[in-house]
Amino acid sequence: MADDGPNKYITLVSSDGFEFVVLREAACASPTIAGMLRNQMVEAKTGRCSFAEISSIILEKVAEYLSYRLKYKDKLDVPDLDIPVEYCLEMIVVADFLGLDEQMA
Amino acid sequence: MADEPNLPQLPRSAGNSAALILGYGRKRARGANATYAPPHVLSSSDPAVFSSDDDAGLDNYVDGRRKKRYVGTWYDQHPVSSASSDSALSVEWAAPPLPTHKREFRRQLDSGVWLEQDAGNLSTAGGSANDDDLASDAKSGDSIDSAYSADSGDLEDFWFEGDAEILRAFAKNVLPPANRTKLSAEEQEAKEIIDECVESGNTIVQLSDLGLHVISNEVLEPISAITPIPNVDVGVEFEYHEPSIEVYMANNSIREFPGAILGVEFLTVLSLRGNKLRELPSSIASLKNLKELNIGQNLLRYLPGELLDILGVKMAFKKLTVHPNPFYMPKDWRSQAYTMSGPIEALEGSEENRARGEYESGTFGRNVMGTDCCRTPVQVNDGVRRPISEFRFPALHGPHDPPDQDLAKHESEVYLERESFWELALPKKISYQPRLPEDGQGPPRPKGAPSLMELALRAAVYSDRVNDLVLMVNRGDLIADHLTRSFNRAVEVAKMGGQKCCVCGRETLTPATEWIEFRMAGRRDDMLPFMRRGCSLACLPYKAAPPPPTFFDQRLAIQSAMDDTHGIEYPEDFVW
Repeated sequence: MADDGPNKYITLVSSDGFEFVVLREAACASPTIAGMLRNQMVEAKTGRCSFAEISSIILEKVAEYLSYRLKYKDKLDVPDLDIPVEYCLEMIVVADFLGLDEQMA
Repeated sequence: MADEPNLPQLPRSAGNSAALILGYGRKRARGANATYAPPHVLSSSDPAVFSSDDDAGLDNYVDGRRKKRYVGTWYDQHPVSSASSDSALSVEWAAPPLPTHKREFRRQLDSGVWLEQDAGNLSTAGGSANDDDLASDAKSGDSIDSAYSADSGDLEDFWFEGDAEILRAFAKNVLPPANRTKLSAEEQEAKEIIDECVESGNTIVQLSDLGLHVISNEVLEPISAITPIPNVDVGVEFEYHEPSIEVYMANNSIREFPGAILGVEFLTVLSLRGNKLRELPSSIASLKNLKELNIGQNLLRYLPGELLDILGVKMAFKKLTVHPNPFYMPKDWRSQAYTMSGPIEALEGSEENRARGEYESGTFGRNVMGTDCCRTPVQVNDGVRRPISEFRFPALHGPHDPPDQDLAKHESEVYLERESFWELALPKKISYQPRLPEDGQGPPRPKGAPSLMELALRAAVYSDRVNDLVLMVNRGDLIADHLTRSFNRAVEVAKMGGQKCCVCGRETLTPATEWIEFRMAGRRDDMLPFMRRGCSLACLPYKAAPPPPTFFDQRLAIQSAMDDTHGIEYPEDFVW
């Protein structure tokens, strides 16, 4: 299917089986996810990216961030996204893994 | 006296008034449907005089109230027994049989509280009023106490086994710092001096030569409270003066800039001469009233770029003393070498300010700063602050590095490459061409959301539990090394008051670009390095059109000419 009309949405699956549906455009802000969705990867065909090491709580926040990032693309005066301090260490690791560590220019 | 009848002796329960008032005694309300207000401590320490005084739930008639089942005088009450003549009271009430089984300590798993079983605990009140009952009552009270103490000793059972260490670290860190950290003798001395200054309204805080290695924020914080005592002589009108606080911390061994100093609004003079500082915080620019700053004889490689802001002509700034420090220097630049080991007297005794590395604010005027400068190439970092560009600064020494045995290394002169203003080398890794600021547009405004890494780091370092996080992170195996470094660096930056992008002003803990601007200061050949940091790849130094040879190049040419013809005499009216 994928080649002519890829789905507008993709699904992120957490280690404990929760699924988060996000816009493909938003998800591709992460080079890691973008790489999974490219070429002949299984994920590219099914539109499902499973993350065996990311729990649902964290992945939910990641999904929220991806949408937030898309929403405020090219906007001035962006409000902060609130990350609870309990999750921030895990979030640092996940941000590194997903390549979400570059500041937008 | 002899005529008066002796009062009967009070029963033990009445004597134990606390137990009675607290409701632990025999009058404790019981029963599954008893929803009275809980008994609370009465304000008086006297024993209850009226029978209702000890029962706070008495006024609450909503659910009805159990009838009193005691007879006798106030000092000799006893519960109504079934054999009592007052049948109206005893009809529906029969004393429950005393418990026969032996009570045992057992952990109540559902409640999470370690208590003995409740079966026979307080039911004695319904039984016959003999001393044994009272004794057992008291005993059960004791056993509750001991159960609680056993409970607190057993605290770690409530946590996962592996978390005991974290728990202990946590307990150590959530305690208020005053209880946690014992101040060193030096800090104690500093604290006394500061307290004395606050007390007497002395605005000159003299903390020099105390041998301080660390000075914690809690010691310094009271400085902001110093207010000078106004002149109240006869005939002198009261005038409000803004305090002008002077803090001298010279000749200590402080390695980390004391962040609390930045909170002193009316700080006018700050001396940190002769310490072991390696970096000044960029938020030093928030000290708007600062007139004099002395940071000579430290281990500074560069100054924060923001310092230029308070050196502007409009500001109150008068005097900056920066030498000697092992500053970076531009390549090919010949400077008069200042060494750390140079005799201090010679430096300070000199007539000329220049020799002391002091600058009057006038020398930082537009004309000097505008033209005589150069800069290094840009170091481009990835999201966790690993350099990805060809040019990178020599590894900077943070305050966590092993200290002073290699002092010589810190003192050695380091020359950095230069890049002209119309070049801008960027790593090939960067696939896109960043938007460069164009002429007449002013600095770019920040656009787009911060990165997830940045957000997470901010959440971590600005939380009030940052100390716990630091402990956890530095235990080692929790997160990868490069993340640990990035995290520690972010904590350091946050402690010194945060960091802003010098181009767009956005806050950044993981600067993407770093470069040093050398500015010429003073009348002659002295270049001061100012560190600039940008938050994204768009935040870059200004890229100019190729200009005619700069003043700097001309100076270099002249200087090399001077090398050849030594001792050349310039005419009196020679102008650079």
